[in-house]
Amino acid sequence: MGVAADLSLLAHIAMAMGLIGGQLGSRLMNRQASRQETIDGLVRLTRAAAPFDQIGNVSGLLILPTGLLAAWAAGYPWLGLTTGWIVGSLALIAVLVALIFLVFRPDGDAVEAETQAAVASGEITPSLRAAFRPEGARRWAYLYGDLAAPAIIALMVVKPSWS
Amino acid sequence: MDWDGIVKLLHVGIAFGLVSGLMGRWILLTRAAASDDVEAAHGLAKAASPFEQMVQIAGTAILPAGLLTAWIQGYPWLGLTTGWMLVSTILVLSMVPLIPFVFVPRGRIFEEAMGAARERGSVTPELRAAFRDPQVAFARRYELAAVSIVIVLMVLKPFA
Repeated sequence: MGVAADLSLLAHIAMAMGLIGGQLGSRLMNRQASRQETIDGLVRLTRAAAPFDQIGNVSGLLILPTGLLAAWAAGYPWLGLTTGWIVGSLALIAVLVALIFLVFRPDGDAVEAETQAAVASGEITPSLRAAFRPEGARRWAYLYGDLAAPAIIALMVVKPSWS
Repeated sequence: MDWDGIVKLLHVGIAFGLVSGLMGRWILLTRAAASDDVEAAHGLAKAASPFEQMVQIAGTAILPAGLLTAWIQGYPWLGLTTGWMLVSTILVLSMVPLIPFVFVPRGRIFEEAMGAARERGSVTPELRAAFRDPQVAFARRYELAAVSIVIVLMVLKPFA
């Protein structure tokens, strides 16, 4: 069990680093893109966000299986689902996954559509600027998206004794 | 949460910052080097600067945070008598000379080549050469390898 526990934990941490790095990179690229003055500069940076998105997506898909595997290999009963901080992490992930489908992907599609329209018109349009600025509840969704992964890492590191 | 947890979390956060910075810098500079448009290359290289800052800040803070974590966790001699911590410390310190001997002087050459290329309006052979600088490429690979090994050591804690 020792080697399996070590390898699954390493894989899980690698996925966590991929997820955080991908998410952070994508946010930084899109933030810089939204501040560009030319459509060429904006498109260049939104395209540069793509590798970060890919890394984040792959890591996001694998982080849960590797986490459950690590919990199993470390000897947690029921894949860790009876342990408070693991359940807390899973709850945070579940909300994040819901937001991906309900907010982040539709917003990404909207930005892409506005970008295509702006490229056709040859300049950054007001609607493209607006697409980069989530309003109302969507802003809270993005704030949650930014804070969920660090919160999960905090739970993983500190392992508070809720169980 | 006690101090042990807070300091360990800080150390882990800095490690995540370092890895994110290395990853982001690598991705953007690779794209910049592959670009045939000098303004695109400049834009991407400029976009890499927040990641470079992350590498510099996290790279500077990771060792003090690690030693502080070891001290708070009660390791003797700040953990330097523990095999995996000593090796990790040596690996982190081995990256320091890369800054004055590789990154700073080669960075100046890169800036000059980029400035000259932008004035000419095309990617010059000098800029291509600066992007492919073997010393910088080696230093960046060394950084990635060293950080990866340190992470493995931190997780597996061998030869304690």
